[in-house]
Amino acid sequence: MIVSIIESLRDNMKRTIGICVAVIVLVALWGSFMVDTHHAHTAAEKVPFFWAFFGLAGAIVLIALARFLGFLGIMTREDYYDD
Amino acid sequence: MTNFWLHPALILIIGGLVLPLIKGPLRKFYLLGVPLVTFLTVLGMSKGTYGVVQFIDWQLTFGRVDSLSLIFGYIMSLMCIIGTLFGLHVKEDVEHIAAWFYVAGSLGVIFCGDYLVLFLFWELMAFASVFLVWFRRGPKSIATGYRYILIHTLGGLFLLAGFVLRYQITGGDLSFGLMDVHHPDLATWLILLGFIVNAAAIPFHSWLPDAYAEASVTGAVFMCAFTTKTAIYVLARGFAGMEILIPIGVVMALYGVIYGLIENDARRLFAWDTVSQVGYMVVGVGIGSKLAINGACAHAFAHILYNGLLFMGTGSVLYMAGTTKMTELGGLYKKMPRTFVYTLIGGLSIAGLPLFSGFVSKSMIIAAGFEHHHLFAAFALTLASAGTFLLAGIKVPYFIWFGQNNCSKETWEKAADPPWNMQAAMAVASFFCIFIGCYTAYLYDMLPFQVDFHPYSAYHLAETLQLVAFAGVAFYLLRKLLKPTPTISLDMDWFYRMFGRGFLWVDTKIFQFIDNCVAEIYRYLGLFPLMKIAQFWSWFDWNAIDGVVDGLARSVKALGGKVRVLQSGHMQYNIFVAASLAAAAIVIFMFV
Repeated sequence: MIVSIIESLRDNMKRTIGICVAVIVLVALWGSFMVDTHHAHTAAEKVPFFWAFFGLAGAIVLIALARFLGFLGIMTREDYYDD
Repeated sequence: MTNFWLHPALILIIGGLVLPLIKGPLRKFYLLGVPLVTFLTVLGMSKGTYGVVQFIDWQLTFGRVDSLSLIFGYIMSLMCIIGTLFGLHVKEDVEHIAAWFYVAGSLGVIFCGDYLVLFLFWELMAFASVFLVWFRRGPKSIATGYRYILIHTLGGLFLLAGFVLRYQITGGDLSFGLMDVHHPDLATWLILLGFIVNAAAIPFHSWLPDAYAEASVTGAVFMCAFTTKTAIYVLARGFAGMEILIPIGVVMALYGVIYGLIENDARRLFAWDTVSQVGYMVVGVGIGSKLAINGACAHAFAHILYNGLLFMGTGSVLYMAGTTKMTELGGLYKKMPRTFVYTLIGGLSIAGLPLFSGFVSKSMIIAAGFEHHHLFAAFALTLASAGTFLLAGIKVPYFIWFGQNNCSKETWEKAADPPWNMQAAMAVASFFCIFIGCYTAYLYDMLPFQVDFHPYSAYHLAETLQLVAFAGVAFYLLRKLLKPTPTISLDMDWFYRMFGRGFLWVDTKIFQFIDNCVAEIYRYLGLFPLMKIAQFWSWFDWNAIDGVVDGLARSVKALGGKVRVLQSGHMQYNIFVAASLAAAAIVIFMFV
């Protein structure tokens, strides 16, 4: 059953991506305009799409930092310590 | 003793010692029975102080049972059942014994009331768990195990130095409780150092990804649960509110995520994620408020279950497919569908998605950060949440179960869902991950402090869903940058590995050279003249002293030789010669 569900999602990739995009847009709109923000901890959080931007930018910064470490030579061949 | 109290660690230790005697079909029941009895013993405990023993001048406390020790004791013994179930197929008794001794060490620390008992069980943990690395029996296991035990010995020495110094300063106080975190002295710093080595705080963390990735399949499931969370327990007990822990925890949370993003080995990736998640707990302890300590305990509880689940999932891949390198996997959902679902549940729990355990635990720590105006820490931990979702929620599922199939023919043919016991253990852990996420009262009622906290507010849901949704968008946009490569990442262990090699080089090259020079000099200046003098005296002895003595001897010998010809040894001949001589003498006397 698990395999058939996954294969159905993969076979209809455009539909799957469409559903994902729709969910993401709905989450961003709901979270920014329909949720009471008086529980927000800081003023910045009351800006619409703050957490969406934080998630996107934060993830990009983390990925960039990780790749930068690789660029610095932190990532090396697997047998590095075997010599 | 105040009254009869059975230490749960003792059940595991005796159970482990008896295990080799249990054979046949009873063995599996026994294997499950011992941790089950341990769990029930913890469950049946009531608060109080037990197991107080007078030893020389010291009063040792083995059983301090309060709300803080109970929640940790509960989850540790529960995880022992799940871990043993996962490893039920393991035939080597010693691996089970090592795992149980390890858990016993952890339970001993959790229920101890003084530093001496703490240190005893602290070392039991380290020395039992190293066998879980060695039992992998891989080409790197021995060296990894030695690095692991060396680092933990170092941490243990910091702890020992700290509490001995404290004993001196306080005039004989060995009790383990909350330290003066606002005015720490050298003893406090040393004890803290000992604790944070086990918590895998940066820069003392390298033992964790090093050992967890190299441990045996079952060993890693135990290791990921106990050492760091026991360290969180002792930090919560002794260092609640020590603010230096906040930046330490934040660095751990982000450092672990960043290293996880460039990791190829799935078990090592989750080891990095462990560093990151323990960072949250360290921040919680550093903040030190009731909400923050509750958050640290709740997150430790949830983390033990979902981290165990993740290591069981990736361990199953290692056990069945033979590798956890993402560059050698892909598309496994067809071959290991159930393992995929269990690992995904673990991934969504660690990422803190609603309805999963991480959502209700880590949010307490972040909320405490905002509440106490540690805004930077709170935002940094939220950022680490997004990174965790990238790692465990997307990267691992994508590159192991979906994505390009990089499996070799052998890997693909071997890959299948693991034996029933491994699946059952994952199912139990998955159940708890969802149960905790859905029914918060189960976990919250066990927390040390009464706190009114509701994670399922609309604002918190909106915040989390936006965060993970757009982290997912970032992954989609930059997925090529996250494609695993067959590499390892250099880390802090580089320094001590290189120091070790440098030391070996200095030893084999420089010290060996100096040793050879000294040996040569000794040979020419010492041994050679000595031999010459000895040769002279030997010659002198032979030719001078022995010449005189031997000359006499040789003269006597030569004379003897000459005389010997006269001596035939025959009686008649001797009488004949003597009679002839006597006759000749008489003739001469008569006629001359």
